[in-house]
Amino acid sequence: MSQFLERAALHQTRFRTPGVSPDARGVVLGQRGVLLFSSLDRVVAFFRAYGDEGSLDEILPTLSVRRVQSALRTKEMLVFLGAESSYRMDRVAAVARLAGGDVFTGTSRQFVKYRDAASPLGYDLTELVETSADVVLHHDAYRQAYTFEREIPFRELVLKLQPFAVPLKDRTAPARVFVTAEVGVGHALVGYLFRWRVKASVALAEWPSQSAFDDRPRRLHVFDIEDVPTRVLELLRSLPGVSVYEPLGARFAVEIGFRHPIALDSCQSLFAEGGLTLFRGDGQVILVEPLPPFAPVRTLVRTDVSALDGEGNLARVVPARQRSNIVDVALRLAPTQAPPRRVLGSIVPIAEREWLAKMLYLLPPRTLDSLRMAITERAIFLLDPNGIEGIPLGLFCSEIAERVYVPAGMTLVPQVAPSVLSELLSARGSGYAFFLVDDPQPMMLPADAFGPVSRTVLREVSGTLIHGDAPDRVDPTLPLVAYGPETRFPLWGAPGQGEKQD
Amino acid sequence: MADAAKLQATYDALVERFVLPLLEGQAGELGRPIAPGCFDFFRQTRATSALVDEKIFDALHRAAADIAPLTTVPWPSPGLVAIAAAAHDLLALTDPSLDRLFVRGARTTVLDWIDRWTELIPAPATRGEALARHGLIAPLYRVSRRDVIVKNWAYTYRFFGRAVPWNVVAMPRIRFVRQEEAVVRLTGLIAQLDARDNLGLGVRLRRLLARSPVTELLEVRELPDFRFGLASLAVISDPAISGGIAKRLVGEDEWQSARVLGRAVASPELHAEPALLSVAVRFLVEMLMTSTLDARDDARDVPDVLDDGTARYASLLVALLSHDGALDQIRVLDDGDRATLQRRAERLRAGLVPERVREGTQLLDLAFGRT
Repeated sequence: MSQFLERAALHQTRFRTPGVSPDARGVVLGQRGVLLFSSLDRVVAFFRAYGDEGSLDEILPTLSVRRVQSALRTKEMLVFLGAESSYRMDRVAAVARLAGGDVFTGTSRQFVKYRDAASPLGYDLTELVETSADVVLHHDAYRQAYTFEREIPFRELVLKLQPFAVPLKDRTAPARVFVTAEVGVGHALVGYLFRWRVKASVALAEWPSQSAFDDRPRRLHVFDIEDVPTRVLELLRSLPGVSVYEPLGARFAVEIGFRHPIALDSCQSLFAEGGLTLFRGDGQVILVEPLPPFAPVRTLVRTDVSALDGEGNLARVVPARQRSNIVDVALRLAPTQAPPRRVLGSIVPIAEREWLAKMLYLLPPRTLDSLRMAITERAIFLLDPNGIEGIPLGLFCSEIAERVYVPAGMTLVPQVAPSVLSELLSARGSGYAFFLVDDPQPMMLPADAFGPVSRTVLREVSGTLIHGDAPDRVDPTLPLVAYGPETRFPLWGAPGQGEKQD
Repeated sequence: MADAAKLQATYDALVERFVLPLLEGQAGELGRPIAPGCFDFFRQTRATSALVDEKIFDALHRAAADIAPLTTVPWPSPGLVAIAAAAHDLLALTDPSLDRLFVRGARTTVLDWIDRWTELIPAPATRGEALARHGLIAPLYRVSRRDVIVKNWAYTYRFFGRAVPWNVVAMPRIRFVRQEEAVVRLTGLIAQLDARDNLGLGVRLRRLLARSPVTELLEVRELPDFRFGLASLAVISDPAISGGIAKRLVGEDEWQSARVLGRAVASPELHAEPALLSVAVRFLVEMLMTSTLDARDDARDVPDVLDDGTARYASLLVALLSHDGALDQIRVLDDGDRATLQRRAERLRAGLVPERVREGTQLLDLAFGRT
């Protein structure tokens, strides 16, 4: 047995350790439990494991995390919590040992090792040590005194931890999401959500400016969206300035595609009742407190009020076949002053193919991954759903309707709706239409003409097969020795006998 | 046969029939004892078969690379060949046929040859030479002899380290032939011979072992009289070899080795030269750090009772954590490793008296300098 501790006996009532007593099961227990960890990451590991296994809320009221210093000036971490019953302490001890910590119990300064398999009823001190330290831990292998350095509030710890990315494959859209959007994007989002009949409400959150150089407070639109369609969710996630969060409880949410290291739903009491805490994937935490009023997006959308005329305006509909006889209107390209949007395509003349080839060597993997290419006799057509700006070659094209492209800075007149334009070009099937300035008819490219760059232009790589077997593991047997034939004169004829040593 | 041809044949027999089988774990054959007069010829020649040299080179390189990384081993070299010849003569003296009347006198001559061969071996000058010597001598420590006793209905024949002739075991059913085999370690056999005939083979084996400082350090737990010599200190001043030896020692039985090393570090000759003592103390510190941070968990166990050597060894870790000069070694570790060191130091401190910790601090003062 250790020189510091002795095993507690059944029905033992008097202990040298101050502030401990046997509970109903006879287990030695103080008012508090202490967990000793060598570093902060072990503490986080403990909270992660405990939060996944049970509820952190039950230990939060009495929880405190302190950084302490030993006599040898090493820094370690102590976690204090109320030891309300030995059943809870057993669970805490099991998880803490799993996370690489030691478990103690006591009341004020002297803490003795909590029970383990070697001593099912716990331990008591062999002698009490007088010391001026803040905490003394008695383990069966060591006795260590610590002084407090600083306390780390648990809420602060949770808010400082950065969520980690999780894969999104095979994932269905959540029933409810929170979305934050910068003010410039927010108004457009209101109109977009209304147009697609998405059930959403919006609020405007404000924070005082962080710096004297800011001329206005920081503002964000906060959307509360229910039953969001997957395509809308994907669009929102791809928009710059917009973040999408999945609520884990009523008052907090984590950005989609990320998970917080600690199970937040097991520590809901950390988050204020009238506020909203949003954890972004880059580690930034958005605290909306108090929560501003939310209004449905349909009440905020801008509407054009136009008076309807009477019945005199109702005209008789001409049959579809006769319409072109009455009015013959062809689609034409015309310059526009509107800033180009969705510049997703580029047409590179075939004469510039060498430059394009050199450019491909310099492109980052992400761009190469999303880039699609179709090679024709006249030009090379490039498409990148993330934006073509990364390739400064050729004639940039904007997507004005689905799979319909015009040169950037131009538009089609008359300005028909995208859906109408798609119907007019129904002959293209699933292909792509490119309008060019010098050609009245659009160029149609089938969808299968576009392929990834790697498959379109890169030469096939055929590796040389080489054999790389692991080296033989040589484990020689014990050597033996055998004598030569037995002779009557063993040294007779042995060479070198007559020569002198150097 | 001309002298040169005779010498070449002797050299070929030595490397092909004795050294190579010994390195490959097979049965090495001992011929006539080799006189030191052959050294002049041996140091300039090579084996007639290049394949033999290549195989020996591979075996030595493999054994050496187990300890530390190296580029090449210098085979053949005068030092290695002299070691092989000395080992050959030493093992040849265990032949019981030399214990006959009128033959016994040859043993005195061969003992003199062994001494002269040993004197011809210089201290290793390179990492490759030091490790190659270990590769050559280490099998010598494990070598055994196969003794066979054959009995038939009338007679009993004993063959010590020699093959059994076919006619002795012919017609086993008719002649009721029975065989008993025993494998005897030659180190044990040498001890028996010394006790019986007082030949001094054990002393000579120990002296030969000292010519390979790496082997001497790796077998230190079986050498109670071990002292840090200039050769062994030179070897452990090489960080690669020192790390390899430390890892091997703590992986086998840390405390058995620590008992001898802790005693050796207290020798007055070493304390007279602080620069040499510093090398020895740094090696012990490396062993402690390796056993605490790198080795398996069961290697970190602390014995219940610490004797003089182990207590001195253990005191170094306890003193290390509070020594200002050694803080650079501690500072480069991460928090988890420092905590592991501290826990083990606390466990060791429980078995040490304060005077012993002060002694450890004084050793560290000499090794790392007092600040």
